[in-house]
Amino acid sequence: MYFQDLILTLQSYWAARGCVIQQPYDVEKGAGTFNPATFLRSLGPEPFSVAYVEPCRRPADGRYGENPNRWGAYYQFQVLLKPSPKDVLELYLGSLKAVGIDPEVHDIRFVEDNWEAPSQGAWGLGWEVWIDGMEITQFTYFQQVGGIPLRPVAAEITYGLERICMYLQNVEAFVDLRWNEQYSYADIHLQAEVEFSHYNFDEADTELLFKHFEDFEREGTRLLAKGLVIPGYDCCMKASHCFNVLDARGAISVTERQKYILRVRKMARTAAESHVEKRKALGFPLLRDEARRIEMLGGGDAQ
Amino acid sequence: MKLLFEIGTEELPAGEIDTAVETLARHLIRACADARLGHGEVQTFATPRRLAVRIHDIAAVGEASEETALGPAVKAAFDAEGRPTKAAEGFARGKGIAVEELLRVVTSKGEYIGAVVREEGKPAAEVITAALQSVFTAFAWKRSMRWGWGTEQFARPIHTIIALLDGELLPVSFAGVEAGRETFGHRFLSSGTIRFDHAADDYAEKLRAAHVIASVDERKSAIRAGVDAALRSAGGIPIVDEGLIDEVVHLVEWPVPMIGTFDPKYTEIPREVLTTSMRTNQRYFAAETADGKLANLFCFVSNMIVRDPAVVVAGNGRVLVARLEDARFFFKEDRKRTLDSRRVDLERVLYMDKLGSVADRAKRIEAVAGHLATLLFSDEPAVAAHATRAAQLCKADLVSGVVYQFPELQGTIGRAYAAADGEAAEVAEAIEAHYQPKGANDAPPASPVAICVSLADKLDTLVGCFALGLIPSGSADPYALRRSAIGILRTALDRNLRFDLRALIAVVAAGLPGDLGARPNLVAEVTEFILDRLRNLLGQESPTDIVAAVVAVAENDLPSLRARAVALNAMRMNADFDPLAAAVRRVVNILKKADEEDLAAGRTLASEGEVSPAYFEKNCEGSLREAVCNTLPSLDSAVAALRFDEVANLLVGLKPGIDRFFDEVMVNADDPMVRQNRLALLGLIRTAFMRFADISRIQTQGA
Repeated sequence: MYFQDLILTLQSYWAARGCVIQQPYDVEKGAGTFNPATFLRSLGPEPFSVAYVEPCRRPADGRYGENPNRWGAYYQFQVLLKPSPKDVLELYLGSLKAVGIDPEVHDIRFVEDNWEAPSQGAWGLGWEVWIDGMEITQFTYFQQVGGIPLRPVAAEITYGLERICMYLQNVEAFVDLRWNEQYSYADIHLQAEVEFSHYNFDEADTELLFKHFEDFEREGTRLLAKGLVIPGYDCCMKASHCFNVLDARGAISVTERQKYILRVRKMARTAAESHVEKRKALGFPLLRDEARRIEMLGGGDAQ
Repeated sequence: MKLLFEIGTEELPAGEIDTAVETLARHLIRACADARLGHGEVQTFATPRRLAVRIHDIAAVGEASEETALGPAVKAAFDAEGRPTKAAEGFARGKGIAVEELLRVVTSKGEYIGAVVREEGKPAAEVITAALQSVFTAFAWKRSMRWGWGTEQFARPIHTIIALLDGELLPVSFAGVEAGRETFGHRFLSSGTIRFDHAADDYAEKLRAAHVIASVDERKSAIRAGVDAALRSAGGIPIVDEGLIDEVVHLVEWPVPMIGTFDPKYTEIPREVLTTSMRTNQRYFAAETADGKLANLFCFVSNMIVRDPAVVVAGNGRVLVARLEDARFFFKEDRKRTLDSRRVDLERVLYMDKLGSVADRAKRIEAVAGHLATLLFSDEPAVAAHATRAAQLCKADLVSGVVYQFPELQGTIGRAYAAADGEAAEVAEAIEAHYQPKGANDAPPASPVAICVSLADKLDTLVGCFALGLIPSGSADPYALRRSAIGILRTALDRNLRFDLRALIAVVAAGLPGDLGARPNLVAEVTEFILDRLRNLLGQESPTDIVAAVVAVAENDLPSLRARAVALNAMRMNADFDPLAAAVRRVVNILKKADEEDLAAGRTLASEGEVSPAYFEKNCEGSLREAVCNTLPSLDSAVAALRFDEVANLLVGLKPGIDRFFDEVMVNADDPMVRQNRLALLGLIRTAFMRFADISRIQTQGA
C-alpha cells in the first residue's frame, strides 16, 4: 500500500463512519492535537467527529534525514470521536483491517499509556497500540483540555502514518517508503527535512524568534481578550512553534524552558475558556439532543 | 450459595491489576463480615480485560446480633421519684422499645440505662448486592477516567458486569452497564459472548475455551515455563526476571512465548544498555551464553496464536534492532569523549533553584565525600583520593546520550565509561554504587569509597532541600527525602559507621551556596528528621520506648543501637528492672529540676560538680560513690566492646546502693553544700546510666 493510499483508505474508512474529513490546519504545529479541529472541538458538549491528516513539525527531532524513523517533520492521521463511542476500539481495529493489518496475523496489544501535553493543559488515559512490538498508534480518552475537564469525553486516535506504512511496505526507513508508484517519501520530503534540520539547529535567528514569541503572545492575549478566539488561538500555535525552534536551537535553558511552556499553556487555557463561553453564548448549536442541550446550557436559559 | 462477579473492561493498566483484584476481594470479604454472613473460599481471577471473584459456600442469611446500647446515666434517666425522664423516654423510643424494657448497666464510670438492640441477619442477596454496588468506587486507581457522556470513573471503560448468586442475577449496575450473564473471551481468538447461567458454572474452563487463562498464577506459571523452555531450546541460559513476569502476565490473556535473535554485533554495547532496552522498552526476556555473556537472543510473550509466528517474530526483531541501533549510536557517540570531559556540561544543567547547577552539586559532594573519607577511613589513605575523584565523576553520565535515552542506567553507564577511561576500579565502582540503597530491598554501598560518595550525595540532597524549605509533610515527599535519610541510616547501621550526625550536617550546611546554610534551626531540623526515620526503622524491630531510650543517648553511635536495644529488652525482663527504672527516673527528674534552677540562676550545674566526701553525712553516700566509680571503667570498656549485656548487669549491680541512698537520705538537705554534693552524686549515677540508655524513658508496670 502506497503512502498516499494509506491516507486515502483511512479517510474513506472514517468518512463512512460519520467523521467530518477536514484538511490539515495551515499553521505549524508539533502534533495533530494542536489543530483547532481537535483542541477546540474537544471542548464543550457539542458532539463532533473528525478525521484529518496532519503534518507535524518537531524541530528538535530533525536528524538531516539520516535517522531511519526520526524526522523533524512527519505526518499523523488524527481521528477525534466525541463523545467516545462504546465500540471505539472495535472501530479502530476495523481501520487496521481496512489498511491491511489483519489482527489474526499479528500480535496487537493495548499497552497502558497516559498522555499529557503540558503546553496545552491537557491529559488523558489510554494506550500505545503495539503491532508485533512496534508502537503504531496513540489512543487517548481525553479527560482535560486547556485546563477544562471534558464532558462528554472524546476519544483521540493518532496513527503514526510512516511507521504503519513502513510495516505495510516492509521497509526499514522513512526514505524508502513509496509515496505512489513513481515517487518515494524521500523524493517528496527529503530535501525539506535536510534543509530544515540546518535551519532549526544552526541557522534560525534566535533573536528574531524570541521577538516573534513575545509578539505572538501579546497579540494572542489581546485578541483573546476581545473574544476573537480562533485568531487568538492561532497566535498561541505560532508562539508554540517559535518555542519549539528555539528549543531545538539550544537557545532556551532548562529553567527557562518550563517558563515558556507555562506561557504557552496560559494562552491555550484562555483560548479554551473563551471558546467554551462563546459556544455557550451561541447556544451550543451542534448539540442536537435538545434535552441535553438545555441541560448543558445550565437549564432553561437557552436562547 | 455461590457468587460469581466479573467486571469486563478495556485493557487495564498492567501495574494496577493485582492491587485491584485484591481490593475487590477484600471489599466483599469485609462486607460479609460486617453483615455476619458466613462464606467459604474466595477465589480471584484477573486478566488485562477483567477482574473477577468467586465466593463459595455463602450462607443464605447473615447471623442475627444482639448488642447492649448504652443510654444516659441513671441519675439523668430517672427523677427523684424514680420516674423516667424525657432523656430516658427519648432513648427508649430511639431504640424502639418501651421504657419498662430499659436495663441498668454498671460500668467503670457509673451506672447507665441501656437497651438490648437485636439486629436480624440480612439475606445474602441483599448484602452482596449492596457490596457489589459499592465496589466500583472502592478501587484506588493511580488515575481514573470517564468515558462518553458518563460521569462515573474507572481505570478504563467497563463493558460488561456479571453478578450471579447461584442462578439469580443481582441488580447491580455502574456507568450505564447493567449486570448480566455474559462476558467476552479473547479479543482476537474468540468471537461472540460467553454465558453463565449459574455461579457454579465453571468460570475458568469456559474462559479457557475462549482462549483466556483467567487465573493469574496459572498464566504466570505458563509464562515462566514457556520463556524458560523457549530460551533453552535456542541454546541460551535464561536470566530469571520475576519482576518482568509480574508485568507481562497482565499484558496477555493467552500467553504464547516466542523467540528471536539479533545481530551479535550489538553485544559490544554494555550489557546493561542491551537488557534495559529489551526489558523496559519492549518487555523482552534475555539469556546468557554458557560463558556468562549476554546471548543474542530475545524472548517475548505474545497474546496470539498466529498462523505464521515468523511474521510476529520478524516484526519484534525489527523494533529491537531499531532500538539497539539507537543505543549503539548513543554509545559510540558517548565514547568519543571521556566521562571527565562531560563535567563541564553539568554546569548547564540546573539542579534546583538557588542550589545551582548539577556541577555545583558535584563540587559540594566532592568536598563532603573527602571530609567523610578522612573522618571514617583515616587508616586507609587511598580512600580520600578515590572518593574525591568518584564524587567529581558521579553525576557526569547524566549528560551522556545513553542516560538521555535510558534514564534508569544512571550510575551503571557511568561505571562502564569510567572503567573504559582507565579510572581506578574503586572509583568506577563507586560511581554506580553511590545511588545505593535504591530501595528497601537494595543493599547499602559496601566499599569505603562508595560509602563516602553515597553519604555525601544523600546529605547534600537532604540538607539542600531543607535549606530551601522543601520539607516533607504528610505523604508528600516529592524529593524522596525520607528515602535519602533511610539510605544514610542503613549505610551507617549495616556498615558500622560512627560519626557525629549533627557535626556532619553542619559541615554540609556550611557548604551550601550563599547564606542558604544559615537558615535558622537547619541543622536541628535535618537531624531530627533523620532521627525520626531512625526511630521508625528501629521501631520495626524493638518497642518504641526502648528505641527512644537508646536513640536518646547514642545518636552518634548508630551501629551500637541494635545491640543496645536487644540488651535493654533483655534487661527489662529482669525482676529488678522496674524499680531500678523508677529509681533512675527519680534521679533524672530531680536533676532536671535542679539543673533548670541552676541555669535560671546562672550558677554552674550542681549535677556536674565534684563529689566531695567532706560533705557526706551517711555511709550510704560514700559507698554509692565508691560503687559507681568502681563500675565506670568496666562500664566504659564493655560499651566500647559493644557488650551491652555486661553493661546492663553492671548497672543493675548499682541498684542496692541507689535504693539505700534514697531510703536513708534526703537530697534536699538544709545545708546547701550537702545538697549540692548529693546532686553531684546523682549526676554521677546519671552519667553511668546514660552510657547505655536513658532507661527513665522505659514504661514500667505501676509507674
